[in-house]
Amino acid sequence: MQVRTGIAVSPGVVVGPALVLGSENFRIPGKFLRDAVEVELARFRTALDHVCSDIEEHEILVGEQLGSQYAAIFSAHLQMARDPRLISDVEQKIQEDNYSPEYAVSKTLRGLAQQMQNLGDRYLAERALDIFDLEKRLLGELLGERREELSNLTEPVIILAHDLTPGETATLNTDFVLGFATEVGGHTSHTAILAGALEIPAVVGLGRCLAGISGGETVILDGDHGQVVIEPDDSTTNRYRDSQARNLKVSERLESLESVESQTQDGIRIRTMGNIEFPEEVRQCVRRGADGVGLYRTEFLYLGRKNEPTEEDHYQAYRQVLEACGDRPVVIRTLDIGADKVPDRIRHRFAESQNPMLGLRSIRLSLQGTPLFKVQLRAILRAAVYGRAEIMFPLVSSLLEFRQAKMILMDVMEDLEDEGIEFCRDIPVGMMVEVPSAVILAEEFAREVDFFSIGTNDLIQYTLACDRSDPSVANLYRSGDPSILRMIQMVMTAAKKHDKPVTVCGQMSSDPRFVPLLLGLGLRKLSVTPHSIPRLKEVVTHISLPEAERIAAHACTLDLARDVEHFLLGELGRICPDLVF
Amino acid sequence: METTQPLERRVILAHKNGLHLTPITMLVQRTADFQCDVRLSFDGKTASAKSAVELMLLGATEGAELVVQASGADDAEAAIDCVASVLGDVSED
Repeated sequence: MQVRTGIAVSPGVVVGPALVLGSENFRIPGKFLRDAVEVELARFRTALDHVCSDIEEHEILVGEQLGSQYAAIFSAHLQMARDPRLISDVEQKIQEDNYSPEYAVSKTLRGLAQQMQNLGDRYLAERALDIFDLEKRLLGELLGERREELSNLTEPVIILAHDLTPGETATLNTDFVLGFATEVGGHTSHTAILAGALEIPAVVGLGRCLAGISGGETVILDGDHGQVVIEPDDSTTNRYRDSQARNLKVSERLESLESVESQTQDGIRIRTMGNIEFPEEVRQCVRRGADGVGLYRTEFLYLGRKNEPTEEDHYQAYRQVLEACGDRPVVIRTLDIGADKVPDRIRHRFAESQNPMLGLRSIRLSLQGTPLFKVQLRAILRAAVYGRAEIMFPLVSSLLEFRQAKMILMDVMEDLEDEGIEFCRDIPVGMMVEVPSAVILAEEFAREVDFFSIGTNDLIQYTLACDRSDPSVANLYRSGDPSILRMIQMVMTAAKKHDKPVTVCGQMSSDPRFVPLLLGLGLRKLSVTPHSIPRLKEVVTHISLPEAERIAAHACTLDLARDVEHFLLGELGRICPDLVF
Repeated sequence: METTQPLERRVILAHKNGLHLTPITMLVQRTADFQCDVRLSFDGKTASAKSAVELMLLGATEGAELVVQASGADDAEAAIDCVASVLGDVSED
C-alpha cells in the first residue's frame, strides 16, 4: 500500500483501477491469469526481437550518417534491451505471477527505473529515461493496435498522469473516468478548475510517484482530503467504502435543498451563486437553485482553439448563460489569462517573464491588447440585453487601471451607439479584489466601482507571497491566515461606508468551514463551484447571524492560521455535523 | 575442466564519472564471449558483468573498490584480466 498526498481540487471519493498515462498515453492491461503462459512468453520474445532489430537498424543508420560516436548511444540501448537480468525478471513475472507481458514489462522496467532514480546519481537517474524509452518501445510492440486513446475508454478507470492539459481534461469521458490525480499542478490551475466543473474527484501536485505504477492497480482517490492510496489494504478499503456510503447519503440529502431559499435562521437572505467556466454549467447552477452566477470565467473561450474567438463566439456564449439565468444576475469576468493558463497562440508574449505571476496577465494584458479586450466588451454589452449582466475586471492593482478599463468600456459603448447596434448601457461595473494594493486602497476604489468581488485564491497567494502549486511552500498558503481575515475586514468596512455590495468568489467560500466566518464578517453574497452550492446552503440555513458574528469576532482574535482553521472546524462540527468528516 | 574455487581480485575504479555508460558498455561487450560467470561486488551489492542494468544499479563512483569474481569455466583468469583492464583504464572514458 502506498499513500500519496497532494492538493485536493475537486471533492469526492472513488475507488477503481489505475490508468497511467505516459507521454504517449498507453493503456496497460492489468495482470490476469491466462492458461497460455507459453503463448504470452512468446509474445514477449517476439516483441523484444522486433525492438532489438529496430534499435540495430537505427544504430547502423546513425553510424553511417553521423558517425560511430552517435551510434554508440544505440548500442547502449541495445545492451539494455538484451540485458539478461531484465529479460529474466520479465519472464519470471509472466511465468510465475501470470502477469500479462505488458504489465510484466511495465512493472519490471519501472521498478528498475525507480531504483536508478533512487541511487542519488544524476547521471544514472537520467539513464532511467532510457529504460522508460525501452518500456515505451516494448509496449508499443506488445499493444500494437490495442493502443487506446483517452477518448476510447470502455470501462471505469482512475487516471494517474504527470500532467493533464486543460484540453485533455475538458474532453475526459466522465462516464468512464471516475477521477484523476496528477504529479504536478496547483489548486488554481485550469486543470483543477475543470475537474470541479466536470464534478469528478481530483487531486493534483502529488509529486513524482508514477515511476513505480504500471496501471491496473486498485486506487482510492480521495478528492476531499487530497489523498491517493495505491494498492490499499483491506482495512483501508473498508474504511473508504464506509465513508463513501456516508458521503453519498449526505449528498443525496443536500441535493434536496435545491428548492430551499438560502436564508439564515433569523431570516437574513444570503445570495448563493455559482462560479462557472462553460456556458453549459449554468444548468447545474439553476438546477441547484443558485441565485445567479457570481463568477463567469471567460478564458475557456480562448483555450483549446486555434484562432482567437470572434465577437460572435463571445456573444453566443454570454447570451446562452444570461438567458438561462433569466432575472438572476450573471457576473462576467473579462479575460483573466495568467501565467499558468496561457494558450499556445499568445504564449510568446509571456516567454520572457521571469516571474509570470507578477507579469503581463489578466487586466494588464487586456489593457495592452485593446482589440482583444474591445471585442469581448462589445459582446458582453450586446448580450446584456438578454439578461442581468455585470462586468468585472480582474487583478486590478491601481485606480488608474480601473479607470482605463472603464474608459475603454465607454469607447466601446460609443462605437456600438454609432453603429446603431443594440446594447445594454446600464450595466454594473465592478472589480476583483485579489491584489493587496486594492485592499489597502479599498476606500478609494469603493467610490468608483459598483461592486467588489474578493478573489481569495490570488489574494492569499499575493498576500503571503506563496505559490500554492509549489509543494515546498504550499503549507504557507492558508485561507485562515489572520492577515487574510484582516484583508477581508478592510474591504467590508470600505464597501459598507460607500454602500457597495461584496461577494467572495474564491475557493475560500466553497469550503464550508469558512462560511460562518464570512457571514459574520458581513458577506451576504457567496459564489462557489456549482456542486458546493448545496453544502453552502446547508451551513447558511443552520446558522443565525448573531452566531456567525460571534464566530467571526473570536476567529479574528486568534493569531495563527492553524488556530483559526481549527476553531472554525470545531464550530462547523457543532452547526453542521454532517459536513465534517 | 571447471575451476572449483572462484578467482577473485580487487580493482579500484578509475573512471572519473564512476561506473557509467562507457565502461559498462565495454564490460558487457568484452565479457560476453567468456564462458565463465563474472560478477562485480560493491557496497553489499553484486552485479553480473554481462548485465548493464545490474552494473548501473551498483552505483559505483570513482575510486570505489570493486571485488571482481569469476568462476565456472577455465577462462576465468582471462575474464578477470579483461574486467580489471576496463575498470582501471580511463583512456577510453
